[in-house]
This record gives sequence, structure tokens and C-alpha cells, in this order.
Amino acid sequence: MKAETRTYWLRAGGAVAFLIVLALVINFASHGTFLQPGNVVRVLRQITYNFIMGVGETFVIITAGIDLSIGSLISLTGVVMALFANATGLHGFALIAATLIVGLAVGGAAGFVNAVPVVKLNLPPFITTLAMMQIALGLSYILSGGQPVPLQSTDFQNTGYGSFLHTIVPIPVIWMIVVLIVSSVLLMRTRFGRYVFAIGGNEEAARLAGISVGRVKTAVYVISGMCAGMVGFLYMSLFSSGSPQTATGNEMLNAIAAVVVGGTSLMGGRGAIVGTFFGALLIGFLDNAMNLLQINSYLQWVVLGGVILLAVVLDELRKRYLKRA
Amino acid sequence: MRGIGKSFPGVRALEDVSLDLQAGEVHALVGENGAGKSTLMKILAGALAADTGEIAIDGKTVTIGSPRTAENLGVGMIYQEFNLVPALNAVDNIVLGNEPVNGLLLDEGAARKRAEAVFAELGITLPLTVGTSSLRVAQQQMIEIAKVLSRSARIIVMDEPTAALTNNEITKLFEVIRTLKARGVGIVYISHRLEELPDIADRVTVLRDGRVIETRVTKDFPPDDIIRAMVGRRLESHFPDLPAVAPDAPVVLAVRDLTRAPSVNGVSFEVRRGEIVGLAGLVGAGRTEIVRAIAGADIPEQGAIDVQGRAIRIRSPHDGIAAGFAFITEDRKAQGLVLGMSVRENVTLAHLEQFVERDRLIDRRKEQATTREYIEQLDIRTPSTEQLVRNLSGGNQQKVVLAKWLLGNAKVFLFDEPTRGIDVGAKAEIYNLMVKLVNGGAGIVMVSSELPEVLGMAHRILVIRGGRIVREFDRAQATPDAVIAAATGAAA
Amino acid sequence: MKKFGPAALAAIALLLPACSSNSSSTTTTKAGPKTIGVSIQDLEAQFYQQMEAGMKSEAAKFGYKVTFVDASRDSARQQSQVEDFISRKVDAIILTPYDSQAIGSAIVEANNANIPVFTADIANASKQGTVVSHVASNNVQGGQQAGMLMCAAVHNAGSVAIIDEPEVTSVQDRVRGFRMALQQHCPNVKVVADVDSGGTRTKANADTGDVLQRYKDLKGIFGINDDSALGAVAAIQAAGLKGIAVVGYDASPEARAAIKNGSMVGDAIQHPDVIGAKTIDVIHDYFSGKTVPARIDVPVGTYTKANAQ
Repeated sequence: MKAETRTYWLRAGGAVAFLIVLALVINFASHGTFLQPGNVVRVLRQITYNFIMGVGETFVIITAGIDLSIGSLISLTGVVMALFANATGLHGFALIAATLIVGLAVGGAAGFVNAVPVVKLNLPPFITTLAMMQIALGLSYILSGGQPVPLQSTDFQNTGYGSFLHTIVPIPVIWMIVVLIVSSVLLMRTRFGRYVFAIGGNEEAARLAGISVGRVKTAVYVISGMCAGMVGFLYMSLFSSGSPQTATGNEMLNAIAAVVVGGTSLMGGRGAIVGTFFGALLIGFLDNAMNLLQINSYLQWVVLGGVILLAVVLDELRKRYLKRA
Repeated sequence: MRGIGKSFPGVRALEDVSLDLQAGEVHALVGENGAGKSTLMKILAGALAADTGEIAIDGKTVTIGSPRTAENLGVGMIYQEFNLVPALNAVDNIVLGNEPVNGLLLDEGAARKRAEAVFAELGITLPLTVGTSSLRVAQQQMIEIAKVLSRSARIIVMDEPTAALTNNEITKLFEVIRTLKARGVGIVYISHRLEELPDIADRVTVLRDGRVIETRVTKDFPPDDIIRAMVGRRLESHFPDLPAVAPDAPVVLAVRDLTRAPSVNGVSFEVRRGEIVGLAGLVGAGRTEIVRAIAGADIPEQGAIDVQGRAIRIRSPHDGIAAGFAFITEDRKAQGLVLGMSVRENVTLAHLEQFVERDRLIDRRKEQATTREYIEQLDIRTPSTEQLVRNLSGGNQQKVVLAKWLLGNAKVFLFDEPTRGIDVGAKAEIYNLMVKLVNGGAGIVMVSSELPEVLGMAHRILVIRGGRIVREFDRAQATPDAVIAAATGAAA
Repeated sequence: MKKFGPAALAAIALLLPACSSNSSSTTTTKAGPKTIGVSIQDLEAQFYQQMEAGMKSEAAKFGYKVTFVDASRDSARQQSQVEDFISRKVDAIILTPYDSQAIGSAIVEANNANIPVFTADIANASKQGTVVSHVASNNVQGGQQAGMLMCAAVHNAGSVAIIDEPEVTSVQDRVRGFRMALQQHCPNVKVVADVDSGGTRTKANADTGDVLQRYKDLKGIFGINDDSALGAVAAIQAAGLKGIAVVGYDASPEARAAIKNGSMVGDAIQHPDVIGAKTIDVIHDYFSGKTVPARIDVPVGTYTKANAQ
């Protein structure tokens, strides 16, 4: 095995080992509730949303950008999809598919708007996506009149909280697995993915190598918006309504935390979807465990913040250790 | 420094290296990239710890555990990439970390006095109150020197100090170095430019593969001997023989009236199949800007470019590559390479379409196979195709850049300072490669600040000044004096 | 420019008397209708929109001019809105404070300008400032209503959970009332979990899942608002469970739909429009020189399947 590949597996292995030990400790402390299959599946279902948002954010962050608008976009796409679903005369699969496409289109369009000033005027994405965060939130309140838009159709219940195989595999988890595979292949095995890394590593070298930097950057923000649209769809299905209040401001921060805990560098050029999955899993595990252990909610914030810090610090120390050794 | 040894995983970087430096001496340290110069100097500067050996200053054995200790012991480093804060002015940079204070407040008057005193000692004047980012490289270097001096350095290490300087600036730097010598400062001088050693160095030490090969007084150490010691074999000549350009060779590149104010002003020239055209001139004359405009890195305001007789329109580097250009940039770290990516990923970056299967996924095995071919062909020293480019030495990094562009079968190669900062052995390999390219029918435009390189490696030389071609020489007519005269605008 | 000429003139004409009356007015009554400035903590919320509607229609009866501004969940903004009201010399100010502590200084400013201040829904919890009258739902009584719904739904025995948001005072009252009702009416019902989900649906959904995991025999869940309750409903459905009684608070349209289709048993229902109307009424009394009570409770009712038909 090549040195780089070996380091990669060493890292992934380390992450898995850490999670396993943590899981065993929590399981012991919670008198065995934690590792019951039902609970594990539930944690997986619960992290789906954070993970899918993290996927879009991973693409953006690898290009050394940031997307702050994804939380608001969940609200906006949810409201638009609910309005669409109520207005159209479609039923069944056609309704679900058309609604999802609308959500992805709205999210993608918002991502495109995010990207234009970044690409054309070289403005910092922090600002443009911050503006989009406000715009999308405002639009979602305007379109919904400030109130949740209940779905009239019940066709979405299965996509929201249905399961395969007698409640063993929740449908959101299937979505998550599909997103995990598709996005990993896109990032690791295609030209586009390679260009994403190259732009984050050295934008000027990438440009001089003939890469259309503007197009690739635009694409990552569109992907990020579409991921938000997909999460908007899943939440809308789960709650049978599209609500402007779905976004509370924490979703985007949690997604970024999952990305960073997963080892993607905020400086760009380095990262992996699998890392984001582990990041989301760690955060989800902790949330769940602290609830099972009935830890005070304010203390939960402290612990979560501490874990994020610890993860990043450990990753940095490990890097330094590997460099020295 | 006595018996210094240092190992990295899988590499013996230094083995039993001893080096002494007297007060008021300039001791040159030369060797190919990867010979161990940087490692040795990092140990002296406290950035790395030695596995074996000891360091003594003024006869006293010292332990240099950190850069701070090194500074306190009077060791000052001037790296190739400066450590200045661009937004701060000269004075602030010089006192940075050592600011004189007046109670709780910064004492700006004292800081300024301290800076002025150092500059007076060095016999130079500089704008003190503008941000250093707006200063020229040579001026920034002077600030670096002043910075270490103001901390009473008695040992100064200079890493490739002349790499980015013009001839005038080099002369000025040498004056300053002589002033330092007179004050009893010892200088370790690392350089690839062997021709400048007789001017400035008292002794020369050659490192190869982590070992000291030889130390001699400079005047007893002719360049040919130094080179032999460096590469371990005698080089026949710096430059390979250039094949003649066929008289009826077709024009591969025609540039007409290329303009991008203020640096490029109406440049027209042609390059024929199998021809190397050298662009000579001073730093800032507009040579880099000309090749950037041709390659599409910058968009020209006007002008026409034909490749193999066909007019082409270039609005981006992407168009340039499609038109058959390969642009090997001056600054490989900032523009040529993605340092955090592997050798493989860098080599294939500009031509990934060649490695995409029908299912649109990248074929990694094919990438690796091709990369391995280039590693062999160009003798790139890397443990594997997956090594990060960041970990390679300068010469090997440059070869990775070359491999990237060889992959595309370009018709015209635009080389900007192709051998800057790389060692003699690697230089020769790059020259041989250029010959191979022209033999294969390519045309080459080469920008170079090293006069011997232009004279030795170009069929024709265009001298650039103020963004214009001011003189054209055939290889046979060109002499160093004539080229310099044209470049500086002196009557010739 | 031409187009805007007449409009601009009209605007100036409208402003002029206001300006002159401002410059000459004292604390004595001035000509024209009474003006009331209302700063609402969050006009995005449906609850406050209904309160606004209640105020509007009641104020129309008395011919009062009411100005509504949205503090957008921002204390500093609310403070400056109050200052604006003061400089416009409104005759009364109604506040639904965003931060019941921070609001004190704004109230003091209004007091100093001799403008009477009324609060609706959320009280001034700081020790500063004088509020003429506070109009709000009786949340303790509302919590009791919810508790009685729960008692009936779980047949007076079993364990229940609360999806809480304990940093909000009105929620504290609801939970207190809820627990009181259980104690009085069905002491065999035990509250086994009380989790802070911040009143949001996504967090309530995640937390409820955890609670269900830990307490397999859970019989009921009280959501301190409808987002909490609906988040819990989604979690119960996702876990494939049935027969867990969910009681919410506020009876939003979505909650009503859930009650209608049986996924929730019922809601405590506030009447924000009544709160709004009563606030205007108490101001009317105050203007008419009557003594007004310092606190006016608006009763909370229940909403169940019977109401949904």
C-alpha cells in the first residue's frame, strides 16, 4: 500500500476505533439502551439531515469557500415545495418526484446566485452567502405568510418517516446512503472532483492548468444549495408541512461542524465525504447519548463545543506527529 | 558544527557533517537540491533538532532548541521566502517581536532610530514608512538583513539571496555583505549560482547526499571542480548542443502587435518549428507579462496570435491549452503546482480528459502508469506517484511541472525562468529536455534572467525593455555585453 | 421626477400638521385621535399576528390610531422603537418584550416621558420601570388544561414526558400548571423526562426519538408549543409507534389538523386575539380616567377532536 493511502486508512481506522470505544462507554453508562439496534438506526436517521447538508458544505469548503445560507435554504425550499405540492394536481410518485425536483431547483438556483458574485467579482463567499441566508429566510416567511404550509397530500409520509423491511431501514437512511455513495464518487473519482481539490489547493495553478475555475466554483455552490433542497424535502416530508421556522440558525453551524470534525480543512484543498459522515455520526451519537443519559441541555452545548474543539486539535496533533515521525 | 547527523523516515538527510565559520568570513554552501543544505541550516536555526553531533559558538557548546534560542545566540536566518509582514512598514518589520516600549505604548521614535541606525551601518537608504509589500524584492531583502542585524546577529545564513535579484541589485547586495564582513559577521551563503562565488565567498563547502564532499578556499576551487564535487561526475558542458533550425521550417507561433498596457506594448515576433526564442531583459521589463498574455493567463487588450498559421482567440488559460500552448510559470509553488496534491494528481491535472473512462470516472491505474513513465523519463526523485508534491525538492517539483505539460503534446512551450532555484544537475536535464522538445517539432519561448542560459539555450534572443522588443540577436552575434547594454538601455 | 411631485406634496402636507402639533404639544391632550405605538417581539409568529389583528379591530371601535412595529427578536431594536414612539409622542405604548429583563430601560424612558406603558403576553420581569397593566394568558391555568387533557388521554396512569423550553417564563408557567393538574387529577401519571428542545420542531423531533428509546412504556407527551408537539408526533410515527398521546399548546392550524386526524389528542388554546382586544380595552379605560387592574388574565381553553369536527 502506498504511503498516502496508508495514512488515509490509518486516519479512517482511528476515527472508527474512537467511535467504537466511545459507543461502548456510552452504552455502559446508559445501561445498554445506546447500542440497541433500534437506537443505532434512529441515530443514523437523525444524522441524515446534518450529513446531507454537510456533503454540500464539504464541496464548498474544499474549494476554500463557505456556504452560510444552507439553513435558510432548508426553510425556503420546504415552503416552496409545500406550496407547489398543494397547488399541483399530481399524485403518488409523480407528485413526490416533481416536488423533489422543484426543491432541488430552488436550492440550486439559490446556490447559483451565491456563486455569481464570488466568481465574477471575487467577493468573499462569507458575505454573499450571509446575504443569501437573510434573503432566503425572508422569502420563506413572505411566501408562507409566516405560517407553516401543511401538505394536503399524504403521499410524502413514506419518504419522510417510512421504512423498509419492517421498520429496520428508515427511508431517510437510504437517502443518506445514496448521497454518500454518489457524492463520494463525484468528489473522488471524477474530473470535477479533482478540480474541486485543485482549486482549493492552489486556485491560480488550477486556472493556469486550464480548469474553468468559475464553472467549478459555481457548481459547488449549486451542489450545496441542492443538498439544502434535499434536506428541505426530507424535513417537509417528515413534518408534512413546509415551515419557515424549520431553520433555527443551528443547522448550518452543525453542518460545518460535521465537515470540520470530519477532517476537511477550512483552508481548502483537503477533505472527504466519508470524513463528514463520521463527523455527523460523532455529533449525532453525542446528542443522542447525552439525551439518553439525561444530561442538562446547557451542559450539552458545552460538551458539544468541547468535542468539536477536541476533534480539530487532535487532528492537528496527529498531522504534526506524522510529519515528524 | 561537528558530526551533525539527521534522519527522516526512510531518508538519511545528513551524515557526520562538520562545518566551521570564522568571524568576518563568507562561507558558501553549495550542493544539488536534496543534498542537505536546508536541513543543516534548519538545525543551526533551531527549527529542527539534530540526531547526533554538536554545535559550538565562540568555542562554547550550545543547544539550540528553538528559533528563539538561535536568535539569542546571534544566529540570523534570511530565507528565500522572506518573513516580512507585508502590510507593515520597514521600521515595524525590523522591530517586530522586539518593539521598544515607553511604558505600555510603543515608542515609535526609538523604533525608527533603531532602524535608521542599522540602515546607516549598511550604507543603504530605503523608504521606511510604506508597507513592505509595495517594495521591490531587493529592498525587502535589505529589510530582512537589517532585521537580523538589529538583533545583534553574528552569524547570518542567507539562502539563495540572489535568486530573484537583478545584476545591479546583486552588486549592491555584495557591497552590503562586504560591510557585514568588515564588522566581523560570519555569513553562511547558500547559492546555486556558482559564477558569483569567486566574487563573494572566502571558502566553499560542497554537500552531496547529506555528506560534506569537500571544503576549499574559493580561489583554489574552480567552478568545474565544484560542479564535479556536487554531481559526482564531470559535466561536459552546461549546455547541450542546439540542433539547427531548418531554413524552411514553418512558423508555429506568430504574435502581432500584442498589447496589454502598461507592461506589454506592441510586441510582434515569430517562432519557427524547432526553434528556441529567448526573451532577455531586466526584471520588470515585461517578459513574463508577454508570455502570460500569449498563454491566456492575462487577457491582452489587442494583438493577434497565430498557431501553426491559424488565427486563434485566447480568453483564458483553457483556450491557450486548447490552442497548443504549454505555459511553465516562473513561480512553481504559487502558480505551477498544487502542493497538497500528489505527484500523480499534479501531472494529470491539465489533461485529465485523457484519463477519463467511458463511465466518466477517472482511471487511477492509467494515471499511475503514465505518471510512472514520466518519473522514469525525467528522473523525478520521489518515493511513489502518491507522494505529495510539497515534500519534493525544488528541482523535482519543477520536473513535475514539466511532466504536466509534456502530457499534452503542446506545439509551443512557454518557459518562464525554467531553472530558477534548481540545482546544476537538474538544470542540465531540463536543457536536454528542451532540446528533445524542439527535435520533436515544438517551438519554445524562454524567459530567463540568467544570461548564460539565454546565450546558451536560444537560437534567437529578443531583448525586452519597457514592454517592447528593443533588440534582436542571432545566437552567433549575441555577446553578454551587447545583451546587457540593450536590456539596460545603455548605448551599444 | 414629475410623477412623484404630487405624491411628495401630499406626503409633506400630511407631515406638516404632525410636525406643528409635535412642536407645540405638551403633556395635555391634543387634538385628533389618540395614537398607540405597539412593538411586538416577533411579528413573524402567527400568534402575534393574531394578537395584532385583535388589537386592530378593537382599536377601530374607539377610533385609535395604532402603529405596529416588529422588534424581530432583537432587544436593541425594540429599545430604539420605544424611543421612536417617545419622540413621536404617542399617547400609549404596548409592548410584547422580546427579552423580559432587558425591556426595563425602555420602559423607564417612556415613564420619564409620561407615556403610559402596557404589556401584552410577556411581562416586564426587570425591577425597573412602571407598567400600567399587563394582559396575558393565564399560562398556569393553560398548563392545567393541558394536564387534564393528558390525564384523560392516558386513563389516569402511566409515564409521560415534557418537551420543554424552560428559559421562557410563560413556558415555565405552562409546565407548572401541567404538573399541578397531574398531581391533583391523576397522581398515578408520572413525568419521567423533561427535555429542553428550544421550542423548535427539528430539535423536538430528535429529542423525542431519544426519549422514546429510553422509555419504552411512555404513554404521553406534552409539547409546550405546537412545534414541539408536532416534532414529537413525527418522531412517534417514524419509530412506528402507536397509542402515545400528544398534547400541545396554541392550536395552530397544523396542530388542529393533527388533532382532527387523531395523531394528537388535543391542545391548550390561547386566544391571542382576545389578549390584543383586552389590551386596547384596558387602555380605553385608562384614557377614560378609570382605575385599571395591574394584571388582566385571559383564560386559556382547550381544543380537541370535538372542536375539530
